[in-house]
Amino acid sequence: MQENLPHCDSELISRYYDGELGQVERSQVERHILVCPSCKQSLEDIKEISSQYGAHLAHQSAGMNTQETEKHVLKYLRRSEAPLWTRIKETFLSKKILVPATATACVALLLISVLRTPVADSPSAIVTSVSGDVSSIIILEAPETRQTILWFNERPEGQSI
Amino acid sequence: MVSNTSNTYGWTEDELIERLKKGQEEAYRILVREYHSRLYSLACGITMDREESQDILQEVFLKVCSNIKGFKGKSSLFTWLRRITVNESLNWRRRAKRRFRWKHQPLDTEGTEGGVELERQESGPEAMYQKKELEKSLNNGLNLLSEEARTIFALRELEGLSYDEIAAQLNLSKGTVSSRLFYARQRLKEFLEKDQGGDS
Repeated sequence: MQENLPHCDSELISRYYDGELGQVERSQVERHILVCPSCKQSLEDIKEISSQYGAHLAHQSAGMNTQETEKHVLKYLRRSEAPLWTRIKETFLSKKILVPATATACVALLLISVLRTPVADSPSAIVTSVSGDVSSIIILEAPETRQTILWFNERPEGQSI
Repeated sequence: MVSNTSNTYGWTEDELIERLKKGQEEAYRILVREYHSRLYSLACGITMDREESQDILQEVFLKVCSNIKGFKGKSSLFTWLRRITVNESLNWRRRAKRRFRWKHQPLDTEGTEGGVELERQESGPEAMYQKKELEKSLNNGLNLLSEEARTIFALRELEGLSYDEIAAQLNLSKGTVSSRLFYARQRLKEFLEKDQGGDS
């Protein structure tokens, strides 16, 4: 830098703008800026960026939703103040828990019904039988499929029981 | 100790804290209305994302609900809120669930229709166009800064914190704060100059 400063120093200008210089350095920069257009421009640029940045974020803040945050906070507050039983009930009845729990239960039931191997009960055999003079009927049940089988048996003539 | 100045609702900060500790809804309403805007700008300045900033702010106030009873008043209430906001904003990228968002609103020059319409009426279309272009360049420049540089810049420009305060908040040296700020300004200046040069 000129004057009392050895050379131009943009970082020093940045610190000057932020009020981070001591008394001596501040005076040196102030004197320097008066005679150095380049450093004066640097300071103007910093001011411009600062102003643009502030305006930019203020513009963006127009999209914020304070009411939503307020609603969210009050809901949380009411829940945390509620008795323990109510909180537990609300937790388990909330959609977050209830929907996945119901879905899991449904899937589990479906899997169980599909994968469940049929238990072979006591071996099925003759359920009942009727014997007459000419023929006999035997009612059977298949062991696994539990289908009913009718067995009709006609006795040849002359054959006795 | 905390300052005892009244807020816009007529309560001193100590009274507000006391009511918050008692869980009074009115106190929480006041807290949100009083600080939401300022903290939202800070979160936007760090994350560059409006939707994330909205979520971050909700998290910040929920943390206040959970932790207010342990607040000793060594700093002001707002300093405490600001610290939580900075930490939450810096952690937002790490939350895996947010990476799969369908919809999010990065900061841009669109989206705030009411404000845009008002400005359109106040200034001519050419001025509006130039302003939008300038905002776009600034936005692009900010997006290319590191998160750390953006945070330092936001704390300095929006909150007016000293280098020492920023360094303490972010666990950095004062020299690092100074050089990051200088770097951020240089980059933004380059972006704005490039844009202006491109227009001419």
